[in-house]
Amino acid sequence: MALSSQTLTVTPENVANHLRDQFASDPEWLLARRREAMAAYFALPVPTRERTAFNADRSGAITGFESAPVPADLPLPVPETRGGVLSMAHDRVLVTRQPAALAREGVILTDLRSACRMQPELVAPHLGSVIDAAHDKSQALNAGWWHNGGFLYVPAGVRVADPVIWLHYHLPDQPGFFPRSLIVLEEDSEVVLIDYYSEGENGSAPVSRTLAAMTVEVKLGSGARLHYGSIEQLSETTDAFVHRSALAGAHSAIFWNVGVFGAGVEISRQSTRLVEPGAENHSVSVFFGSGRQHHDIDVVSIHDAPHTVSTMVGKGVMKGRAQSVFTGITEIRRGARGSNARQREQTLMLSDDARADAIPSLLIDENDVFAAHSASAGPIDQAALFYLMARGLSEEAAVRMIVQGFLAPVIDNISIDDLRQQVWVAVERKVSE
Amino acid sequence: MATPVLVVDDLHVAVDGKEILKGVNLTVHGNEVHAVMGPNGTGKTSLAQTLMGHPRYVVTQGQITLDGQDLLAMRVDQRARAGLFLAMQYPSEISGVTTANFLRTAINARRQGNAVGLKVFRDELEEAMDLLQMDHQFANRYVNEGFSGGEKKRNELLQLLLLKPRIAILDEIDSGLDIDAVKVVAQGLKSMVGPEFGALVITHYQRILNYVRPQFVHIMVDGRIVKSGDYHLAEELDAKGYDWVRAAETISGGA
Repeated sequence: MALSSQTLTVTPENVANHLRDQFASDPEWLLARRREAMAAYFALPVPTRERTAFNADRSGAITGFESAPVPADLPLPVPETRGGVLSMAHDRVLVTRQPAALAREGVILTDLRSACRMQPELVAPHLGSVIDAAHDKSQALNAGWWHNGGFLYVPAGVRVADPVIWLHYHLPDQPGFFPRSLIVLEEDSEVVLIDYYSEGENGSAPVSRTLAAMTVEVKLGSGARLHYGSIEQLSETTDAFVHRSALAGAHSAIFWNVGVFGAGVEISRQSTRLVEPGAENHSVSVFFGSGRQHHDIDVVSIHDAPHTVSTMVGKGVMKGRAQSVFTGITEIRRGARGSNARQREQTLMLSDDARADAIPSLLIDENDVFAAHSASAGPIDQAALFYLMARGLSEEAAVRMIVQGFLAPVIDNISIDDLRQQVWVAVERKVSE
Repeated sequence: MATPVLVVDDLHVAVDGKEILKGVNLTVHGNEVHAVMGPNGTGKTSLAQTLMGHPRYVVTQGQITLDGQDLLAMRVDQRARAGLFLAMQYPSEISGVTTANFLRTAINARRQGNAVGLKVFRDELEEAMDLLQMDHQFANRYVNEGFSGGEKKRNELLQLLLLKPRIAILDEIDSGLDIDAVKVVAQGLKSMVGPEFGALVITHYQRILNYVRPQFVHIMVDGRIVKSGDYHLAEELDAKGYDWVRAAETISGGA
């Protein structure tokens, strides 16, 4: 199958054509939303961060890119699991596997575009309700041009025992990567979801630069519990804007475990709004940069109801000339009495050229709360390195041991077995690079 | 295996351009325990760190060999794998790494692919901990993290017992230990001494030497070994103090 690619510049005229050509199978309500998002796109700012230079050369990529059709026969790996699996490469759904037992209980696991066609009454009220498309160009681009993603719906009271796995493959010949997913948990339901973002090898020559805008929206009903894990391992030719956000109802709990290992520049925002009493947000971020990678990660916890709880941990390692900025933002709004928030950030730099900033931020507008934070960033301890080498470990093995020790208290606490192992594999790969 | 020999020949060392060691000569064979004593700031720790290869200490003259191999041409880890061990005065804390994991990794680093079996390792570890009167739970704690001064010193000895070096340097292994702990540590060290093991004990005080009973005692002043003798030199020093050596040094230096 011959693949042809074409350059597409984002102009109002091209947008209309692209929406018509690429998304003809979408229902009209969805097309209307896509058009609205792209109409707003032109006036919106390029997303920027204070400490992350997203230069003109790179931001140029956001105004134009090529697209090529994705072939149907892609032999990409699918994990062994008893739980549900959804595997996608761009708009192509490779595998959808929903255990029969889950279907009987009313659990829906499918790709988001199919869900928009088949279950509009479940999707339409939630899609776009957690993340504002008019925030910046990357969000508008995703809201307008998302090619596909996962949809998971768990009805009230249903607990899913085995982890559900989503794989989003970026193909190396694709200059745009816009996955979008939606997770809706009804009252007192519970599920474990692992959301992988990886490169899919298909033998094609890679494009020089890819722009990715990746979005995940989560809605938690009262008492619902979501264990969300993710590993991002995109290639360094990809610049990624990642936005994950959750709305958490009364006494619900979300457990985020997010590993960031890939991308050239990744600008991510993970935001959780605790909008009803007793809601909880527990977030763990592990990031590891090498070469000239740049990770700029914001994790936000918004306490907007009494007795809400958040814990936030960020741990990162930077080597080579890599740079990171981890900003933890805890916002406790007026009326969120009795709320409890803690955050801890720690980064380790393995070379003199690496840089890792950790910035905790507490915005508190209520008196009757508990909030604490700690942050540290430092180079590898030379005395410890000498100590380990004096016991016979090579410098490489000594650095590996120090890094493992640095990350172990966080990674070993990841409750999802598969995810914990995969995070260690990713760490090992980065250490050995 | 042949008995080990460490030879330090006319060693001159500088730190930040300042000469700290000014021609040290010393030979340690297997089956021997040597003590190096001396006042603070006289170069004892510098000698220990230089032997192990700490990058801060720059050798400007002289040589060091272990079993005839040129130690100065070797990296820190190569020296360790060649059989040199340094029990450090201030051991580092390695957060997140259990003592057992650390020890097993260090043992395997020397065995080059021929990894020690878990059962064998556990047995040896527990035997060594018993000898040093350490709680077995110790193995599950992160290396030196939250350890008391005495626990850190015992942990150094534990590593020595398990890694089985050919020549060990112990830098103020007795500092911060109560008398019972000094005895335990000394017993641990003595259990190692034999044809395949020699030790260099660096200390400020004679106390540990009562238990270790070195055959050779060297007194170091201002970057040089100024006096060597048998065990009785340590007793003499204890009775007369370092001023006595300094005075002797001035006289011999002027002669």
